[in-house]
Amino acid sequence: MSALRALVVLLLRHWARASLPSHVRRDPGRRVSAAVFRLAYFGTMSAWGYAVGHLVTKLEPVARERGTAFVVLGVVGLAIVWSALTRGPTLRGESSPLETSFLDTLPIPTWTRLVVGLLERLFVHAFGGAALVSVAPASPGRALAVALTLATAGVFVGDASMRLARVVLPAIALAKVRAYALVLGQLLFLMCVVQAPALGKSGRLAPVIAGWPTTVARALAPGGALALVLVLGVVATVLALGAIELAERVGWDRVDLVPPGRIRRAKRTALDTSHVDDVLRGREPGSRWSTLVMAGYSLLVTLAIVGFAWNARRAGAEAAGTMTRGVVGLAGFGAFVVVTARAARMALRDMTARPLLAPLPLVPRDLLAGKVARLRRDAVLVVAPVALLLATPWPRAMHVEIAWRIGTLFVAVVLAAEAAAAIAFLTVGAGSKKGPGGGFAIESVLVLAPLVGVTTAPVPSGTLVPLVALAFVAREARRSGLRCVRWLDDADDFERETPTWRALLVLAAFQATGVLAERVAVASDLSADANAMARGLASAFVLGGLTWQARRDAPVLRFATRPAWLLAGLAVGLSTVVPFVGREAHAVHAALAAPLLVLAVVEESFFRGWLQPCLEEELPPAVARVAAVVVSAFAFAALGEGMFLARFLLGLGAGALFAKSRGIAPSIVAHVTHTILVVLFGTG
Amino acid sequence: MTTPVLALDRLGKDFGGKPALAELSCSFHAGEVVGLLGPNGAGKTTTMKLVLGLLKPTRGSATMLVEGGSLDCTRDAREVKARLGYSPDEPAFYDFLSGRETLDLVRNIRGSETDAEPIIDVLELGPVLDHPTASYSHGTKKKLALLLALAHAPRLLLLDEPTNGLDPPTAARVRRLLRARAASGAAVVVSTHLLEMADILCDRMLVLDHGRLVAEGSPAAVRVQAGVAAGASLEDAFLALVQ
Repeated sequence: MSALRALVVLLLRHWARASLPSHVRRDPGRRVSAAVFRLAYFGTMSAWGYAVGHLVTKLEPVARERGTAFVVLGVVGLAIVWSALTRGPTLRGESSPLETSFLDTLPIPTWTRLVVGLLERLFVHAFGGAALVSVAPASPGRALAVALTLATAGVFVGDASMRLARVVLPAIALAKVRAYALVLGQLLFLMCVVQAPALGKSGRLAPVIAGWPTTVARALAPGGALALVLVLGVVATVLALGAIELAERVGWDRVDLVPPGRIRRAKRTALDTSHVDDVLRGREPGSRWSTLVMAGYSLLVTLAIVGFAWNARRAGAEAAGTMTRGVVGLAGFGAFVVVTARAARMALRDMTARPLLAPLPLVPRDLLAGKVARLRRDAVLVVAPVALLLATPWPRAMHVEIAWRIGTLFVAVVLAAEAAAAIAFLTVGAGSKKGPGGGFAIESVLVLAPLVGVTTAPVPSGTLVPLVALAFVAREARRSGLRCVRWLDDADDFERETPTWRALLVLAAFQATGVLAERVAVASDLSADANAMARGLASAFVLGGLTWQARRDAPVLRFATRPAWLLAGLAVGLSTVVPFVGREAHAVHAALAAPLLVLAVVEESFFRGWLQPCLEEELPPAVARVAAVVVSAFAFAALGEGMFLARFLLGLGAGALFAKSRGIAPSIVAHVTHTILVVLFGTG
Repeated sequence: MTTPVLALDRLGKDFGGKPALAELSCSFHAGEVVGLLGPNGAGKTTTMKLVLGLLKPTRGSATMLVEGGSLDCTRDAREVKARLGYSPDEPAFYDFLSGRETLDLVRNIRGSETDAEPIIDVLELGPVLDHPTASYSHGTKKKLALLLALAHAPRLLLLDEPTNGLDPPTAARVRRLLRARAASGAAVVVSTHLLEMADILCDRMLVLDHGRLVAEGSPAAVRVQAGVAAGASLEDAFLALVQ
């Protein structure tokens, strides 16, 4: 049992990023951000599964059964693929915390690692459980029992397949299979679940789910063959455990992920800090074609749309607009995935080669510059096919929209590439003593959120705010990256994060919480008001908590309660909303006043009480005070929904009050007054 | 008197408020091989990393003396690293580059065109130099790290356990190679636990214990400071100093 306990603690500490440098480990703000992200991930997966299942229940009975069968197929397939993905032979730094060579040297019983491995993949159960419970609202108990049985069986089958494959295949060959086949499988099974409501409507796809998926779907309804499904799940689990035992007895080479023998020498000119990543990428399993695969995917989808457009020339402007936004969003997200994953891989390489790099006459700028250039190229490659939309026979107005969407998308992904390189540098690579594996970090939310803002903007001017935000994030990430003075070794002197960057991390957690709360609320069929209230309260709680935790090193927050300042706050609140009443302001239900007022206090503590003084410290002294007011007001307005100008003016006024009074009470008065007026007089 | 290459002036480093290196003042000269000796945690590797500019001193300074001036090892770390060679105790490289490509990478970064073949021959690295470094044994990795440290003929060599993991014949060749480097005008600083090797190789020794310098001088002088007989082994002297 002690081994079991130790492995559980190891896993939990890994999740809490306890493998970070000692300096960061002592930083509760950062740990809390990571924990929020982990919870948000877990919650989002569950909410996502629930939302998809909910849509399936709205189908006709026959289509619903097919849709349910697709959900079942997708959930079991994902359990197998995700399980196999965490057990495959991986490059150094990428594997699960339970799959290290150190643990291999310890006498840990196989069953212990299997049990903790199940805990590691618990999100599969959460996702599948939520999806199946929502497709069978009449019998949630049956659905949950089926989901847990099948997800567990899937996890063990995936584990067993990978172990058996490792017995048979050399690690290097299996790593290539893992990199492409499993990632493709993941995409397909994810599509089965996410597109289940649409796939269920198609009778032609019925053969795909004939057999056990349909049997399981029927078993979810009262009177279905539940016992049979549960027995099948248990039998599959037992067989998988037998296969695992067999593979363990036969054994395999656990550490052998390098090509045997000589390798063809690269040109000497290709071996410098700018190009070495290209050489390594061509040799590592799973790295070489990743960008081209994503670019090909983007090209195929674009060509399909172009073909459709030529075949159905009468497609309305609405359909054309939807398709354009869809492919722009897909390409943007694809570029994001490629640059974050590749940036993390680059950073992991540098982390591995730290003893080689340490004594060389390099500075962070040298390493960063080459990576940014490569990531920009990859990002542009992925989004470039979207330009083919200009070859559609759509009207000129549509081509104008396509042109500005492509233009802003290019700028956005180039900025995202720069930010991703610096973020990976900070969180995984040379800037981090021992970074976590994988390619996603809470910091990525800072890139993803404005990128989504650019791809979903309804009009060209709507891209301005997210583009400026993205440029700011890229600049600040780069500044933090370049501040890694002793970037290779000195955990006690870890000057990697600018205070502004730390504030931005808190903002990322705040954004993630808002999205999560919204997903949960949507999946729970809450009313729009209740949704907004839940989101407001959850976001306020996270922002307030993290601000309180992470600004502890900043100067003590003063209030400045002199009547003159409070009156000035009142005037700012009044003046910033009155010009917009009846025009732009959104109607807000009175019931939302309470969470909005709480959020007002919390936002002032963050934007004026923390971000603004951080910026004052770091911007050029000649413009610091004014620029800090403008930038913090911009960030404050960019995060709001609608009413950008009103919030920007409020931010400027509140910022000026803080700059003069050096306390947050006047800003809070201004913000609260502004909010009350919006609640009282806002129109939709 | 030979030319000083590196000067440490009350150099110290604390980790979490605890001193890893209290205060170390000494200098290293061209043409000499100096051994840094001490038990685990004595401050040997910390001293090397301070010189490399990888750690920021809590107090004092390390200065590299160059023609017509001096370089601060913290402030001018890049220039200092361009002039020294370092071999870590636990070398690691890009897994999917061969040893020869790693050498090319390092030479490109350093802008060095010096012929490395003689060193490759001495270390007997030729047969494996075109294989990926991830396939190397620990000893081969140590040899490659030595090659990378020596290839650009630096004025100062910092070597952390240079012969640890090497077979005896290779270790003997490495000792001769280091002596030859010192003879050609380099200052060689070797951190080691192998006292016999230190006794044979080093002109001078610094014995550290708990971050403090407890003895300094030639092997004979260290024996005197330890209060052991002139014919006693260096291990006896070492144990007398640190226990």
